[in-house]
Amino acid sequence: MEPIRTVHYLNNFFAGVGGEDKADMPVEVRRGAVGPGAPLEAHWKGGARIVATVVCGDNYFQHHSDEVIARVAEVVRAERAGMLVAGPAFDAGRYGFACASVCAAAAEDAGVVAVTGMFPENPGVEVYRVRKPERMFLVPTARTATGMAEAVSRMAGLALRIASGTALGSPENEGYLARGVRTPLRVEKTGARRAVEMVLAKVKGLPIRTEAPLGSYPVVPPAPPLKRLAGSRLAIVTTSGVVPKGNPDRFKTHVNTHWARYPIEGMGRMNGGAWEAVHGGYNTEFMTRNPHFGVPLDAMRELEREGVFGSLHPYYYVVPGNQVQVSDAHRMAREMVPVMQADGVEGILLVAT
Amino acid sequence: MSKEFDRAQIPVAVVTAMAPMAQMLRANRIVLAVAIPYPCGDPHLPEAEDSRLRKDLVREALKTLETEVAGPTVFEPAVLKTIPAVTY
Repeated sequence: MEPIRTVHYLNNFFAGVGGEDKADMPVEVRRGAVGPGAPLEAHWKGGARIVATVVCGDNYFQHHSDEVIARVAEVVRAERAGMLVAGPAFDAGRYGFACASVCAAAAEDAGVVAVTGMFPENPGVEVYRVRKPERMFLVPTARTATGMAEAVSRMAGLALRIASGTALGSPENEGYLARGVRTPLRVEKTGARRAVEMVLAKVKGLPIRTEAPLGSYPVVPPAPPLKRLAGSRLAIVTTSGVVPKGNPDRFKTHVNTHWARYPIEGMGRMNGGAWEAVHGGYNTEFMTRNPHFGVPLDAMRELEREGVFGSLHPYYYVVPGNQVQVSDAHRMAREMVPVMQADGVEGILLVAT
Repeated sequence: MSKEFDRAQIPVAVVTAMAPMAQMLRANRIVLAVAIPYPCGDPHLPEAEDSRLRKDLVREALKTLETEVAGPTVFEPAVLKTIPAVTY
């Protein structure tokens, strides 16, 4: 079998081009393996081969990420590569972020297998967890490069197994970091039996392992308060599913992945009959009859007139919140932010059902 | 979603009847609302009273935007005590 053509991404340091002083180094493409690429190839024993190494300074990546990501994709395409390996980055934050970003883009856009490795608390892990590209895998490594040998061995093994089409096992068995992707599989016992066994084990005080771990919800410190509500521009966001009658943006009653905004400029209230509530998680009868329960425009207009706050942003934002994936909710809110900021929004009223 | 707004340094008042859920998800400014199907108002009240309830509730929610909080905090608007307990 032909060795799998592989592109490797490294920062300047691991490619042997200076340290922090050279972190502004722009993208450079080298033929063949460089630095940790050599032991990677040694592990593959001819099963895969590094055809090109893309090297870039971590600071350069911070300021030109689109360019670097596009360049890596271009090299992957030009080399007809089936695999991209990045790092390992250990606990280097900027490097980890760069590795995860190039891998996510290559896995999503070029559909190649992309494998990187880093310390589980590296901020790059967040890219992986939020985007969870189907073909990308992140191998946990030690905090520092003293763990290089083990990291390279695990990354090499996993990459080759996936790229050569071996069925992928669970994160624990394969040694990659769980992304929270659920895959169907056949088991001997029914769910009812497994659940009862788990309860009995718990009662006996035996260790149990959940089959559906709940994600942990990271803490984000609160935004500082408004200095003066009376002068501030505010926006309304709602997860109630209130949309114009006819549901023009085709929201589903559950698991939505997009949001919309609808104009309310010059409107004093939400007239009954012009709106409907699309949401599969609560009884929408009241909301459809009186959309103010989810978009309190009448109250906001009065408070605006009375000078309680400065002014109201001319749109309200909506996504029916039923069973929306946490990662999608994060993404959608991130998409809304620049749109609101462009209009000077300083505070938000979020009505959640 | 509220955490992304916080991350962008835009304070956000989360008006919801599901305060424990909002707390678990670590929303920071949580304002207790009337009920899940009608957070801002009460369809069982006459129209004028419903409007007044909504305005009071929203006013109290907006006040939290001016309030310093250290982490997930639940605000219970005084106006909620003036309406009968909700039955689903």
